[in-house]
Amino acid sequence: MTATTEEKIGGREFTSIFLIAVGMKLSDITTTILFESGQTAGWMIPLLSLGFMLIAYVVLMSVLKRRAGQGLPEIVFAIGGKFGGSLICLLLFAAALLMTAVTSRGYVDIINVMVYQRTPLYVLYLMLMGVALYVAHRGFSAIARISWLIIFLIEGAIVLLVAIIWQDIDWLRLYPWAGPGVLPIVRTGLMHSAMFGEIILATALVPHVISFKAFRIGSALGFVVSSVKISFLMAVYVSVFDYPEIIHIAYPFQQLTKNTSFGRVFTHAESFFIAFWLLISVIYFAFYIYLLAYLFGHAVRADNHRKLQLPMAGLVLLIGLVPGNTEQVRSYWELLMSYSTWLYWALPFIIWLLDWFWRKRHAKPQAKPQADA
Amino acid sequence: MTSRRDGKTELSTLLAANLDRLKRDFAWPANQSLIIRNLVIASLKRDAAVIYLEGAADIGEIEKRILEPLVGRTDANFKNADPVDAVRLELVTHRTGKTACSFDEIVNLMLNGWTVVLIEGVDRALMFETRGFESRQVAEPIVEHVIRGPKEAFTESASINRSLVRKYLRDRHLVAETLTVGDRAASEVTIMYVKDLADPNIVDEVKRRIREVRTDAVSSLPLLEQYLDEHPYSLVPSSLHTERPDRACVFLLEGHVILIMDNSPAALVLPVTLWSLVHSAEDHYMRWAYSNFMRIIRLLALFVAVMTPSVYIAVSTFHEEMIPTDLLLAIAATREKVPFPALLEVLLMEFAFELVREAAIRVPTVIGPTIGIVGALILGQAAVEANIISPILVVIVAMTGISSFTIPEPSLNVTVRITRFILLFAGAFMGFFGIALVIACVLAYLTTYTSYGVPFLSPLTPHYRSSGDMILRLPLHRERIRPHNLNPQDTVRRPERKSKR
Repeated sequence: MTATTEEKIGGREFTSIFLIAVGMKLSDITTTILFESGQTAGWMIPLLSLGFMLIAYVVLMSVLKRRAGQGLPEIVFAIGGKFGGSLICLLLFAAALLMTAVTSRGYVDIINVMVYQRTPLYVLYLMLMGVALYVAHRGFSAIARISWLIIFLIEGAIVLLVAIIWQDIDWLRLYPWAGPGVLPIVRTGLMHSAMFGEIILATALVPHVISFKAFRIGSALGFVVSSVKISFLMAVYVSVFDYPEIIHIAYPFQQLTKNTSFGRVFTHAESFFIAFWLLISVIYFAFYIYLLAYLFGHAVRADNHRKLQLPMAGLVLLIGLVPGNTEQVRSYWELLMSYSTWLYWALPFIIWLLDWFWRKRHAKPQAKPQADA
Repeated sequence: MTSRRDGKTELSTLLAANLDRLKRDFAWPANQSLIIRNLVIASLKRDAAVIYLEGAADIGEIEKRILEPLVGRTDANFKNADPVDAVRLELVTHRTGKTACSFDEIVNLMLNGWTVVLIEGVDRALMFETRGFESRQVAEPIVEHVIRGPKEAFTESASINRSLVRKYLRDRHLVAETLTVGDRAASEVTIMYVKDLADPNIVDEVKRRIREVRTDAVSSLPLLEQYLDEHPYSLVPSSLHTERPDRACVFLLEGHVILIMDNSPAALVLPVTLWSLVHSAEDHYMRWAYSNFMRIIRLLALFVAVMTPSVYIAVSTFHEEMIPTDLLLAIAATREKVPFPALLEVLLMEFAFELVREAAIRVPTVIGPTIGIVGALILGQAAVEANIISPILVVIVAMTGISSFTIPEPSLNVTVRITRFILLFAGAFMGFFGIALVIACVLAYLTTYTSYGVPFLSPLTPHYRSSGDMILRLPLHRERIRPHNLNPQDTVRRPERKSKR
């Protein structure tokens, strides 16, 4: 048992990863974009997306449950053959890669705009990716163990943030509660389901989790808690900043931390929160680099996906540097979201169907020896 | 004198030949340590010789238990016809006694303080354990001081140390296995563990690594520790020295393995976790609230020792808005006269502090306090007055220094000091961003670092069942189970208390 060998991770650690990977969205450009289409009802969108994504999740879980111990890549290779398996893995990989690139660029933009205006963007990007690469290189267990170590601090920090900001909240600002109307909200929720794409991607890691039960509980719990958390924080953003000001605030979470103070002496506590947020983003991107290398490694059937982490981090960095400014990042994000929503939505059903056909074909030869016996 | 197939030389039946060989082996007469006492065993009517090494053997014991019976008895009615058996079973009154057939064995045992009796006409030697190395008495612990609790410490004698451990832990399952390391000057290593507690995999792993050590001599535990180390370049220690037998027993009862060696006034505990390094021996001797209070203080001190200089640099260079305005102005006013950048100031001061610390260890004890006064007080005061550093920095470096003294384990202490410098540069380079990145790396390293297969931060992360004796501790009666990260064979420490009193 050394640092270089992969170990199975426990349920607590896995749940923590999920809470971080999904929960991070409350602090990035996701919320800003959702406010644009959701207006005062923006906070409902994560809950609606959760609902839509849960359907896909349940369908996928029914297949996973039948094939205990197998992850998504193993299953698609088993039921889709070499070509189909590679194709699905590559599709997922492409979606995840672009998403990671755009998201990470968004994070680097935040760091650049909010704290380090004079540091070149690519330098910040390079450092973030370099450290995330190191963490990913220490293995999935490193990501999982750090997550479990800091998860209570993270949730505590969020509670602290809300507690500090509580006096500035005016819940009446949430009205009109339906925002642009019920139908547009539902449509936006559906079209942005891909923001919870992790739930599909993470099923690739089933073999790394100690038991399927731990995976199921961990992913479901992390998923639901995180979306409720995002939704609640979005409601807080609107209640503090009010609509339409909120759509002009590029980074509501960071803006919120700027308003924090501990008593009269420490009037600016934002660096405290930002430092914490930076630490978590490293874990977040380490998770993505690990996942990308893992998916690509399976798609091309590479033995050692650990060696693919360096090229993956480089790819994310290069693609992430393509958008010229934050506005472009947002439009790419929107575009990506609408396309990958179809992928994440369709995939579980396709897999379920393929699995159904596979079982039909393989049911008879298996039944015969039993009858003989 | 014949050579066996395995290269060992067997004894001859001629006493003179055997003596010659031993003399040659020990470079006699140049080497005066080899003492040969020729005598005649009156009752057997045979020539014999008693041989031992001066300094290694206890002379009084040899005279009383070996020489006296051999020379003094004259009646010749023995039950055993074989002269060796007659001497061993009927003549000599010494508590030990065994026969040896090869010179390698004899020489090895003599080096460990055994006495040889060679008898004319016999191709075997009689060996008696008469170990008499000089050793100091059991003294008080120097590093691991406690206010409450036993005040006995290990000494340089392995047999005294083993006896101390056995005194504190009277368990029939306490096993003391002996292995030898070193090809030239072999020394004995005693592995102690509780047979029905310790994970056999850990015990086997420790034994395997000890057997794999290939070198001429390993004279003491700190050297052995480095030979056994899985990550010799790592900043993090993978084992722990304790000079307290009571603490060693606590580790034994959790399923750890301890190593004991001659010449080392300590026991080496393996495997270790961060928690065993930051806990003090006293934590469980104080009542629940008191010891938790001390642990919180020590935890804060650990953070202060690691982080303060880097956070100061980060805040004063990148995030000035965090400092309360009045304090910011005060700092700015004192820094106005200082010509150096903050980083250089901190480095200067930290360097001076490390200097004082190193000097205080190296100088003779008598002048030690002088160093402290000259170094810390006068130097600090003068540096501020000379406008080389700002007063706030003296406060920060002093705080950091005092905090680092609260870390009980010397290896961890150095780890913390080195990490502090790494963080310092990260903070000076990129502020909180740099610090956060370095901390992420440190966490990734610590969480996946293992000591003899046990994750370093377990049972916290990865989570294992335990009694929660990590950052804080529970009252004694609620510490019911042993930490599962060591995979103990018996997991329950004490049964659940049925009724509330």
